[in-house]
Amino acid sequence: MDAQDDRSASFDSYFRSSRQPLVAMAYVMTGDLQVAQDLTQEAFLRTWSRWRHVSTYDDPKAWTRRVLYNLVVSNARRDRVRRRSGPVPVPVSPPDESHLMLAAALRALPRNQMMAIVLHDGAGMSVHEVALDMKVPEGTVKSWLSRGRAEAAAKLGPAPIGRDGHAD
Amino acid sequence: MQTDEQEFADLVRSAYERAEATPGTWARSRSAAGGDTG
Repeated sequence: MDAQDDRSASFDSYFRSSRQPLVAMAYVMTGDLQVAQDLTQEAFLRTWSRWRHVSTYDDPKAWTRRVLYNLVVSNARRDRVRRRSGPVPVPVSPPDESHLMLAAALRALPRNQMMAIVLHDGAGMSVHEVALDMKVPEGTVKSWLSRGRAEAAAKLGPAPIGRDGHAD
Repeated sequence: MQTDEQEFADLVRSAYERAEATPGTWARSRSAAGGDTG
C-alpha cells in the first residue's frame, strides 16, 4: 500500500466515523437535514483537499467542525440575501418549522455560545471536553452555556407543546 | 409558559439525536473533491 492509499484509507475511516455527528451538528444549526448534509459534504471535501496536513492534527474533527460552522454561517447569510431579492423555492420536503426556529435562535447567539451549546447539549460532550476543544477554562464554557441557553430560550418564546397536547 | 434553559438544552439534544439517527445520501466524497493530488 503506497502513501496515497494510506491517506485514502485514513480519510475513509475518518469520514465514516465523523459524518453522522457532523451532520447532526449542522442540522441543529440549520434546521434543515438536506442543507445540513450538503454543508457537511462540503466540509469533508475541504478536509480531503487538505488531508495531508489535517490528518496530522491532534483532532482533525475540530478542524472540520470549524469549517462546517463557517459554511453554516455563510449559508445563512446567503439565504437572507436570497429572501430579500425574491421568492425562495419551496423544498421538496419542508423542514420542521419548530426546529427552524430553534436553529435561528442558536445562530443569533455569539459564535462561542452557539458552539458550546451544539457541542455540549447537542453532541453530548462534557464541559471538560468542550473546554479542551475550544481552548478555554471550564468556567468559561459553563458561562457560555448558561447565557446562550437563556438568550436563545427567550427568543423561542413559549415552551413547545408535547405530543399529548400539554406543554412538556 | 416560557421555554427555560433546560428545556432549550433538551430541544437541542433531541434535534441532534434525530439527525444522527437519520441515514444520509452521500456522494463519493473524495472523488467529488477531485482527489488529494499531493
